[in-house]
Amino acid sequence: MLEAAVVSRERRTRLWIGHAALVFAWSALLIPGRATPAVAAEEPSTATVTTRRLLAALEERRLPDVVLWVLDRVEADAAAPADLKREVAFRRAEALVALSRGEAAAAKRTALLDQATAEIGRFLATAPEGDLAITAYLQNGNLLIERGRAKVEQSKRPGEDPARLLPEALGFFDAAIKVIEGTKRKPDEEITAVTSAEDAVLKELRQVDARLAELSGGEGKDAGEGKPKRPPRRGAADTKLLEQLEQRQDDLRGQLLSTRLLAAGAYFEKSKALQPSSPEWRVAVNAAADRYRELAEKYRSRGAGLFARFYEGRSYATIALAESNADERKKGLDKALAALADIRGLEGDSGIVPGLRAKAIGTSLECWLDEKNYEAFDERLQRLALAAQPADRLDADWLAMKYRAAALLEQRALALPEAEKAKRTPWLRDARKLAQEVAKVNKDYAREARSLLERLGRALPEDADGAASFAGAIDAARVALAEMQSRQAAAKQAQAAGQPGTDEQAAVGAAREQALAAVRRAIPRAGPDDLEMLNQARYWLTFLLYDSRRLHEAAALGDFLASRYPNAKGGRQAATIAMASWQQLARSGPEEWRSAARSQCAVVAERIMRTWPADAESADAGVVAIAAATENRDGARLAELVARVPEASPRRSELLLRGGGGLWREIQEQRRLPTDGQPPAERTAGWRATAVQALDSGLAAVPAEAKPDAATVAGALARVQIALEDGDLPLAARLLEHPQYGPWTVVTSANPDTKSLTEGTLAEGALSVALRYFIQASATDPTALGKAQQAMEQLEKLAGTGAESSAKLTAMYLAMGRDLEGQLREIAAAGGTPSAESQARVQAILAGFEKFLDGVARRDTKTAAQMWVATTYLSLGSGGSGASRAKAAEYLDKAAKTYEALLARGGDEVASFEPSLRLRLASVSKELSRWDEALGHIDWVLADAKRQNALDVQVQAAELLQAAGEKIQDKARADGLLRESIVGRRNGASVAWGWGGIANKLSRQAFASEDAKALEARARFFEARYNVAAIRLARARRSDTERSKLLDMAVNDIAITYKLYPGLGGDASRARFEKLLKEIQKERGEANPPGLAGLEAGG
Amino acid sequence: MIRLSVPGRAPSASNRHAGTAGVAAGRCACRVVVSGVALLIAATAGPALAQSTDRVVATDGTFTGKITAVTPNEVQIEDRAGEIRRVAVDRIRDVQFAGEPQSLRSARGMLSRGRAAEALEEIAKVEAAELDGAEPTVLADMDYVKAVAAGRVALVTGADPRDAGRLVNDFLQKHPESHHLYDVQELLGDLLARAGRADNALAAYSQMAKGPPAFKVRAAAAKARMLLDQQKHREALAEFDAALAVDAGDEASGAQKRAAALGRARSLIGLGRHDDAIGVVTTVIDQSDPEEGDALAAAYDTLGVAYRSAGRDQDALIAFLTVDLVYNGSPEAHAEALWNLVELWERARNPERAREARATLDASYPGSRWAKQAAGKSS
Repeated sequence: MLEAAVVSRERRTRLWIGHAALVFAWSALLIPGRATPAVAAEEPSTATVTTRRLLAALEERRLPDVVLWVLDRVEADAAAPADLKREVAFRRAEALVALSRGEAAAAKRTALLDQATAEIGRFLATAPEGDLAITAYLQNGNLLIERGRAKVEQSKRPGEDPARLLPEALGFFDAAIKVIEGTKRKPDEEITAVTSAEDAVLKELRQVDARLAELSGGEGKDAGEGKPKRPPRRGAADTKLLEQLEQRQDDLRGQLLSTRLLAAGAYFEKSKALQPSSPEWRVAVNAAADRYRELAEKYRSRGAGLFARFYEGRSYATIALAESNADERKKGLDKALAALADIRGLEGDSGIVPGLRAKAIGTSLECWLDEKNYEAFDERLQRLALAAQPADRLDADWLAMKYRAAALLEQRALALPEAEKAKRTPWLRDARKLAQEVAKVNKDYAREARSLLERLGRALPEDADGAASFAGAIDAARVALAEMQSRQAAAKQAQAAGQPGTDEQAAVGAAREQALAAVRRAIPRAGPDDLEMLNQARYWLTFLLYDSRRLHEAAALGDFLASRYPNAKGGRQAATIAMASWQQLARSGPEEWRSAARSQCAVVAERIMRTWPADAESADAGVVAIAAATENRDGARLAELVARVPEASPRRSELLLRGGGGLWREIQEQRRLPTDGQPPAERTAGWRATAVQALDSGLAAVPAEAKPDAATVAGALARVQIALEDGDLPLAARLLEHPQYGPWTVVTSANPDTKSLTEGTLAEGALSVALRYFIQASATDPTALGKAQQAMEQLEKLAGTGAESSAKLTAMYLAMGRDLEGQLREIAAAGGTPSAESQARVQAILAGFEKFLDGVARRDTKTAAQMWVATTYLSLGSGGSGASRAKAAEYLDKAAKTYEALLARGGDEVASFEPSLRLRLASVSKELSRWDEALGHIDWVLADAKRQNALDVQVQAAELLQAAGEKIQDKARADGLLRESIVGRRNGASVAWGWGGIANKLSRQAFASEDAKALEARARFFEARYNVAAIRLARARRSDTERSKLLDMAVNDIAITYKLYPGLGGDASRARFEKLLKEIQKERGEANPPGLAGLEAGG
Repeated sequence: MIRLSVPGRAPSASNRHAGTAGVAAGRCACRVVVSGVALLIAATAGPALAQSTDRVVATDGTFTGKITAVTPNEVQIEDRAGEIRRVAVDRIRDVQFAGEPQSLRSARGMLSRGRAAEALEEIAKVEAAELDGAEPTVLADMDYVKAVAAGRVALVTGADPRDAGRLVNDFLQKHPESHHLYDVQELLGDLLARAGRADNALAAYSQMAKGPPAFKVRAAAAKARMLLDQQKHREALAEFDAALAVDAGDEASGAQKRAAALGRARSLIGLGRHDDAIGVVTTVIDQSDPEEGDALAAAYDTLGVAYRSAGRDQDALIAFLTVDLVYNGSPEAHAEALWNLVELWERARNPERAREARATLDASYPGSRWAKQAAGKSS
C-alpha cells in the first residue's frame, strides 16, 4: 500500500500531457506530490515491486513501447495484484501519448491519441475516484485541449478545410470542458457520481475536511476551503494524522485550483475554434474571463491568482479587439490593460515571473498597437523585451512579445516628425534585433517578423550569429525550410488557379537550394548530445535531395537513416524516400546503373518490410520486393516474402496474390529447364505448397466490394492453373468463373470498369487457360465446347490483324501447348512411376484435346485456327506430354500435314505466316527424322538475309544440324553435318552460323552488363560453347583418322572458355562442363580424368 | 571528515601503526590550514586514519571489539564488556581489522561487489610501510584480496587460469585457518574447472562441504555449475537437485538454495524444458526480497535466457531490461543482460537500442567475457 501511495504520488507529480499548455504547467507547480496517509496493508510481492520499478525506469528512459509490452503482461497475469492492474489503463494512456510524440505521421499520431483517450476512459470507468482518477481527469482534459488546438492550427494551413476541422476542434474542447468541469453544481450539493476532475477533487476534499473537522472536535466548521482550528490537546498519533490531513487538504485545494484554471483555459481555447465576434464566441470568451476573474480575486496573494489575473486581462483584450464600436473597444482595452498592469509590473527573474510577465507585456503591446499608444511601452518594458532568452524558452508568448515590441518600435519611429528623425535610429535598431530573433526561431510570428525585417531594409542574414552553433544552424535551416514550403504552397495555389508560372517554380527551386545549404551547414555542427535533432536534420536533407531529384544521394542518406536509426523521427519516411529514389533510378536512371538500382530497391523494400511490418509503407515495400524477386527469378526469396506478409497488412490480399502468382510462374520456368538444371523436386514442391497457400489466403482476403484488379485476376488465374494440374476441375471452374474476380468472367465481361483487363498478356493468359479448361471439361460438360470455341475466337481477336499478328498468335498457341505439355508431364510424373490412374487421366485429356483439335481443323479453315491446331499437335507430339510413341508420331504427322496444307494453300495471308510455318515444319520434320525436309525448310528461312540475324532461328538450325549429324547413319555425311553444326553452313543464300558462330555473336552482349538480357545471352553463350565441345567429342568418337586431333580441340574449346570465364555460367553449367571434360579426358586415355582441375594445373 | 582536521589527534592505542598514522594525520592537518578543499582530497586519496577497533559485519548486525580468533568456520570477537561473540562464516559479510590500510578495505568491498579488476588496482595502492608490523590477519587479508581478485579477473576475462590458480593455492597453503577458506576453495575449484581439471575441481568443491550448512549447499551447487558449463545438463540438474536437498533451513542456506535453483533452471533450459525453467525462476523471484539486487539480477537473467530459448523475444527483452534498469548492481549479471539486449534489440529491428546497450557493455565491462563475445560477433 505504501508502494501504491508512492506510485500515486509519482503519478500526480509527473504530468505527461500538455507540456505546451501553460495552464497545465501551472497545475504541475500546484500539485506538490505528497502521499495519501498510508494504511497498513499486505506487502507487495517482489514481482510486483520489480514491475513497478521497471515501469518507472522505462518511463524515465522513454521506452513507451516497452511499457506497453509490460502492461499487456500485467493485464494478462492472473497473479498480478488488483491495484497494479487498475493502473494499467492509465499507464497505457501515458505510454501511448509518449509514443505519439515520436510519431511523424499525423494519422498514426491521431490514432495513438485516440487510443490514449479510450484508455483513460477505461481507467476512469473502473476507478472514478481518488488521486489517480483526479490526475486522469486532468490529463484527459488537457489531452483533449491539445487535440483541439492541433485541429485549430491545422485549419490555418494552406490547403486545409477549416469548415471540417473547426467543428472537430470544438468537439474536443467541449469534451475537455466536460471532463474538467462537469456540470455546475451548488456549493453544498452532494456528489453522488464522479464524472469530472472538479467532482473528483471536491469529493476527496470534502472527505478530508470532514475528517479534519472530526479530529478537531467539531471546531472546524468551514468545510471545503476554510482551515479547521486545532483542538487544544491531542495525542502524538492524532497530531501526526492531523498534520498529514492538513497537508492533504492543501494538496487538494491546489488541485481544485488547477482544475478550475484548466476549465477556464478550455473555454478560451474553444473560442479560437469559433467565428470571432459571433454570439457563441462571446459566450466562450466571457466564460473564460469570468472564471479567471473569480480565481484571481480569490487567490490574489498566490501564484495561481497572478496567472488567473493575466488570463483575465487577456480575455478582456480579446473581446475588445473584436469590438467594432470604437468607444466600446477603447473601454475594453482599458479594462484589459488595467488587469494586465499587475502582471507587467512584477519584478524578478525567477520562478513563474518572467514567463507570466512576457505574456502580459505581449498582450499589452497588442492593445497599445491597436490604440497607437506607443509611449506606454516604457524603457523598463523595452529592456525586458530585448533581454536575450535561450532558444528553448522562446515559446509562442515570448515570440509574441518580441515581435509586437519590434512592431511597436517601428511604428513609434515612423510616427516621429521629420524634425526628430535622429531619434528613430535606436528604436529601429532595436526593432530589427527583435524581429531577427523571432524570424530565426521560425515558429510563431516568423513570417510577420520577416516582413518587418524587409520593411526595415535588412533581411535575415543567411548565416546569422546563432548559426555558428548546431542549435543556431538548425534554426536557420528551419527558416529556410519554412520559406521553401511557403513558396511551394504559393506555386501550388498558382497552379490550382490555372496560372502555373515559371517564376513560382524558379522561386521554389531557389528556396530549396537555400534550404539544402542551410541543412548541410547544420549537420556537421551537431554534438554527441544532438542525435535526435541531427537525425531530424538528416531526414530533412533526405527529403530535400529527393525533392531536387538528387536521387542517388537521397537514396544513400535515406538508407543510412533507415538502417542506422530506423526508430528516429522520420526514419520510416527516410526509408520510403530511399526506396522511391532507387525505384526511379531503376526506371529512368543511367542505363548501366539500373540493374544495381533495382537490387538496391529490393534491399530497401525488404528492410522496410522487416522493420515496420504492419505499416502501410511495408505493404508498398512488399509490392516492390515481390516485383523485384519475381524479376530476378528468385523463388526462394519469393517464398520467404510471402511467408512474411503480416496478418495486419493493409494490402495483405494483394501481396499474397502477387507473391503466390510470382512463385507459381517461377515454378513453371524451372520446370522448363533441362532436367539436370532443375532444382531439387522437394524444393519445387515446397514452393508450390507455399504458392497454393498464398493464393488461397489472398483470394479469401479479397474484400467483398473490391473491383477486380490485375493482381487479383492474375492470382486467381495462377490458382486455376494449379487446380488444372491437380485435376481439380471443380475448383478450376469455380475460380475461372468467380463472379467477382474470375479470369473468364473478367475477360468476357462488358463492364467498362474492367475493360483494361480484357486486353494484354493477362487476358491472353486467361483465355488460353480457359481454353485448356473448357477442352478438358468438354468430356463431361457439353456446354464447355462452345466456351472453348469462344475462348479461341477471343484469342484470335486479341492477336489482332496487323503484320505481327501471326507471330503473336503462334506464340500464344505455343505457350498454351507448353502449359498443356507441362500439365500432362506433371500428371505422368506424379509420384515417380506413372500410375494407371495418372496414365488414364493423361489419355483422357489428350483424347479431349484431339477431339477438339480435329473439330476445329474441320470446322474452322481460317489460317490462325489451322496454325493453332498444327502447333498444338506439334507440342503434344514432341515428347513429354505422356502420349505413347505411336500417338506422338500420329500427332506430329497431323501437325506436318496441317502445316503443309496451309503452305499449299498459298495466298497473301499464308505468305505472311510462311517463315513461321516452315520453322514449325522444320521442327516436325526433325521430330519425324525427315532430315532433308527439315534442312530444306531451315534453308528456306535462312535464305533471307533479314532472318539470318534471328538468334532463335540460328539456334534451331544449329540444333537441327547437330541432331541430324548424330542420327544419320552415313558416316561421312553425318560428320559433315556435325562439323557444320559447329562452324556453320552455307547453302545457296542460306547462312547458318553454327554453335561456334552463335557463341561469337553472343560474347559481347553476354558480358556487357548484369541485366536480364545480358544474363540470358550469357546462358546461351555457355550453352553454345558447351555444344561445340560436345560435338567435337561426338565427332572424335566416330572418327578413325582425326580422333586425337578432335579430342585435343574439344579440350581446347573448354580450356579457352574456362580461361576467359572461370565461372562457366554458374554452378549447374560449370558441372556440365566438368562432366564433359572428364569424358573427353577419359576418351584421351587418362585413367583419372582431372576435369577442370587439370586445366588449372596447366594440363 | 572534519575530525581529521584536528591537529595531533592521537591514534588508537590498539593501532600498531600509531606512528605512521599519526604522521599521516599530521600531514593532513597541515593541509587543512592551507585549504579546506585540499583536506577533502587528502582525506580520500591519502592514507586514512585507521579505526580503533575490529569489526565484524554480519547479516544480523555489526559487532565491534577485538577479534580474538579466526577459523574457517567462525570469527570470534570480544566486545568492550569482555564478552566473546562467535560469528559463523556463512553470516559474515565483512571483517574489518583495526589499523588495516584503507585500500585493503576498499579493495575487499570492490571484491564483494563483483569488481575484481578494480580491487586489484586498489590493493596495489597499499604501500609497504602501511604493513609494517601488521597483524597476521591483516597480512592474510592482503593475500586474500590479491589471490581472489586475480582469480576472478581470470574467470571473468577468460584469461589463462594457471597464474591466478597458483596465487590461490599459495593462499590456501599459507592460511589454512582463514575465515575466507571456503570462499577461496570454491574459487580454486572454479579455476581448476576452467583449466579442464574437473576431478581436482570437484575435490576443491568438496572441501567447502566441511563448512556450515550454507557451504554444503554451495559445494553441491558449484559442482553442478561446473557440469552446466560442460553442457552436461542432465548431470548438472541432478547435482542442483542434490544442493536443494541439503537439510538446512537457515537464512544463509536459503539464499544459497535460491542461487542453486537458478542453476537448476539453467539446466532445464539446456534440456529444452523452458516452461519448467520459467516456473523455477518465478518461484525464486517470489521467494527473494526486493532488495536482494544481485540475486534478482541473476534470476531475471535466467528468466531472460529461458524466454529467449523459448523464442519469446519480447518477454526476454523485458527480463533483461529489468536487470539493466532495475537490478544492475552485479557486474556479471548486468554484462550478461546487456549482451542479450544487444542481440535481442538487433533482432527486434531496433539498432539504435542495440548500439546503446553495446556502448554500455563496452564502457562498463570492457574486459568481461560478454563484451568479448559481443566484439567477436561484430568483427
